Amino acid sequence: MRAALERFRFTEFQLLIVPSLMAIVGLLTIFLARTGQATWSWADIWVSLAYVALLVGVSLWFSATGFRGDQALFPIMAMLAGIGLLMIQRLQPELAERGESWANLASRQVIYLALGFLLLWGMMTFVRRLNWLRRYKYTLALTGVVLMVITMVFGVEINGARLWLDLGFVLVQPGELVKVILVVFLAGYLADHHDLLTGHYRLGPLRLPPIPYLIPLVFMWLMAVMIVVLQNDLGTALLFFGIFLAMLYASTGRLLYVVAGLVSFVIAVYLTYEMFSHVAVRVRNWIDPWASPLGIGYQQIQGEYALASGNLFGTGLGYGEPGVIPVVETDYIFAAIGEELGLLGTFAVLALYMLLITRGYLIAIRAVSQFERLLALGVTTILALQAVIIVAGNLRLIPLTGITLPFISAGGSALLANFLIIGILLRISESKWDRR
Amino acid sequence: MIVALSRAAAFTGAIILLVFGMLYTETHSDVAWLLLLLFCGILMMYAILPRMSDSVPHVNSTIVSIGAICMVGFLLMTVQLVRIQIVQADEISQRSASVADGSVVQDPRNRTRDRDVARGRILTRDEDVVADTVEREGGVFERTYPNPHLSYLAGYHSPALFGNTQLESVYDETLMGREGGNPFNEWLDQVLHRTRHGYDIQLTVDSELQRLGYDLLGDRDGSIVVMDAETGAIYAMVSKPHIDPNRLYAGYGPNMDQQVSEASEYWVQVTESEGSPLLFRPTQGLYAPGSVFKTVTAASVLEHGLADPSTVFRNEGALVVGSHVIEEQNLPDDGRVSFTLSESYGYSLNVVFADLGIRLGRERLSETARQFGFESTIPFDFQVSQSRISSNPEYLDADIGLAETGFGQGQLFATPLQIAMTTQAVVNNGMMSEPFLMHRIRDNEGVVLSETRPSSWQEAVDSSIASELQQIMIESVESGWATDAQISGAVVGGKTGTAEVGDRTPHAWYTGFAGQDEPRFVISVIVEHGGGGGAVALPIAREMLVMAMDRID
Repeated sequence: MRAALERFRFTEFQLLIVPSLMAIVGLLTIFLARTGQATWSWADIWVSLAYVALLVGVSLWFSATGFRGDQALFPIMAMLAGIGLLMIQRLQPELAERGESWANLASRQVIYLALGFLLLWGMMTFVRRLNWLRRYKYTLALTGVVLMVITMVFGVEINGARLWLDLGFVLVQPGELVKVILVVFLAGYLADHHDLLTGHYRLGPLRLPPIPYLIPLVFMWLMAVMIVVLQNDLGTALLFFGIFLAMLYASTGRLLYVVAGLVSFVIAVYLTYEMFSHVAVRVRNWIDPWASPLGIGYQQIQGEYALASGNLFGTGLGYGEPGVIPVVETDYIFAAIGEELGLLGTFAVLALYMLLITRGYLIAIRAVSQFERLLALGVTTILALQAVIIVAGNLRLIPLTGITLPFISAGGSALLANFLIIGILLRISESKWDRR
Repeated sequence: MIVALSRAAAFTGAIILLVFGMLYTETHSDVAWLLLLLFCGILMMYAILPRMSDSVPHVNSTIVSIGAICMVGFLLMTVQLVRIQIVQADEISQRSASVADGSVVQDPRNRTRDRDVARGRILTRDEDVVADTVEREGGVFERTYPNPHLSYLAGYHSPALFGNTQLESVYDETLMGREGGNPFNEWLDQVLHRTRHGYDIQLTVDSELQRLGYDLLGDRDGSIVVMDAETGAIYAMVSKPHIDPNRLYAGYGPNMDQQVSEASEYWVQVTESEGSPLLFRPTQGLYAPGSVFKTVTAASVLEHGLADPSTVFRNEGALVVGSHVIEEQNLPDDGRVSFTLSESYGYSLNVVFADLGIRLGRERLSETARQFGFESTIPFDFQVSQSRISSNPEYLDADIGLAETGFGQGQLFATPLQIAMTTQAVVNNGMMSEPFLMHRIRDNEGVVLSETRPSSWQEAVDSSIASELQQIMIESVESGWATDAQISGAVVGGKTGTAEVGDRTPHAWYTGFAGQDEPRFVISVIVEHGGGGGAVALPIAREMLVMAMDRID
């Protein structure tokens, strides 16, 4: 009995009160705003009740199995995923107007969320350690490349981007998994070559990084530029290259590599801007969407209208009109939050991401092995960069790109990949206890 | 130590720059703002990045650096959020653009946000309706203006097409119940999504007086302004020709398409019709004032000690100014050639005032005119055009320019409100009051939320000079060309004016005051191309003043 009490994750359990209440009250608000009546039954908000049950269930399972990892990570994630759940439920009537295939998007999102929890549970139950991943880094890298090639060849094109694979009953986005695979590979690779830190060699007057760093640097740089040129996807390019630079910097401590990589990337992007008109159109639209208010600028203009209408307190859940923004359920869900929950809501979401990221980097700092440290750093950077790239795009700080807002945007593949990341972080956070 | 100081300086500098940029960069020139953000981001990074020598293992230190970079990114996003959601929110919501095919890109929320709010009414002081809101089938609200003689005072309200003007524009937030009452309750209503009620606005205008002016002008173009001699409250403000705001209304209801096409048609009609009905003459009509400006010239003469009311001037029937000859047309037929200043004013002798204009010179005459409100924007409920002394300043360097300006012609242009306020300053001890139309705001249950408090605007002349001017205006009615303005048992003063406008029939002007024991009401009347001021404008003014004294306590 005492042992059980010692193992009980009090902090986590208490922190789960907030996301639980938010899910229940939020869904009730949405339901009442929609019907305009003050009568409801528990059945109307079964989705939130199920969500709360999942949260409590997973936390209790952690306690029961004696899991000793980070206690804040799971509640923060629960909060973000809860906001996502609410927003998709709220947008459902608007989405349903678009056509038949959109009618059950909200229910599908609930299933993905449940699968995400299942994945988390599975990981925490069956995967005890992560160090073995290091041995399979080349196998994983190959898998990643194969996935990308399959997507490019057999993929389904939606909105001009070939990112989806049709499995018959569902569309999946292998790119989301490839991000994580990339991090695992880089963590393994950089940890292996950790000892070569001091070496460098000369090529005439130039001092170049040691070959083991030079090769991936050039390779990643080329890959990022190719993504910009071929897919016109500045966001994904920025994400891949950013993850790599962060991990390279952490493993070598050389700011010079990062600066050189960034500068050359900016120059390359500028050159593609000059050379390829489709890239230029995006960049011009970033500076002035009003140049084409019914064309490419329409989405950004509507997004800005939504954010501006939110003001400090927002219209209240269910009282705004976020449905007028094209692709609001993924690209522009942040603007929808801004409209209905106001500046307070958007600040809260940003604060949650900052907490999540801080937590992730703390886990990286406390990790016991170099591989785990780089792995934690890499997966946290995936979340950080994704949040920054899409929110900054919504706010017109950088050109808009079709990256999803972690845990909040609609979409199963991204959600599962993000749960995988949380699973990895939780595992690594426990590794210092394993040593004893 | 130096590093710490420079970091603190960088951080403070970045914050100051961000605040400055947020307040002063325009929404449309986003490039400058983005560059500013980038620069501030770099400053912030310098301020918070940990030093490598901080003795922790470098891997951990680099992770802290990466985290710090992320935090700077998030900080810039919060700054941008404040800018979009708070600082420039209104500006962004109002931004719109017309596309080549004629459609307009605008915030769709503008259509829906006030759909269920009954816009407040606009009423006169005697509770007659200027603007009303009626509920049509299906709970749709529409704006109507039931009384033609009052309607155009409101301006127009046309949410789906032309927006708002005049009172409908200035008091839009109040009429929609968003401003003017208890701010906390208004905020609470919004947060709790309670049904809002617009606030009613009661004007100082008297419906019957307004109707009389409307009928007296009849088919003629022109304007009448009646105001309180002390407070500046407007009792009547007539403008002809005028629009019918009912026909410019286009709302977002089910009849929107029909209303829009009808309103557009009417718009073309009013903009192309002669006489510019869209021009609200009392505040926007700019006319040559003619002899009613002599009050200002006389004030300047008294102020600068050139003469007093009893100083005698000779008038030989003509004045030679360089190569020009100014002929006197207003001499009384008693054969006299000597007149006091007071008599010259009463008989509106151009020769005397031309001579006075030259003797005053550009500086002194312009200065007095400015004290009376020329070349400034008169504070009023809505926009008032500035009255002008001359279109080009050199005009007043020549004697002929000063001479013509002295008796009210030249390049002078004045609004009817300006002329009324000139008289108002004379009878209010030289102090000009701020004119106002809005008397008070009431909620939908009739509870008064706030009332306009009369206030002074600027001093035109010293009170002793004002009382001399007042006496001159009274004598003008007792023995000058304005004797028809007399009202038995009342103090009356006034000045006629006949303003030359090229070859066309002159504008007929009259301005004056009346009251039981002391001046109580001030009036200005202009009938465009109406003829002589004494014959055309004066009778209208007299009738208006009689009714005002009868109706308004």
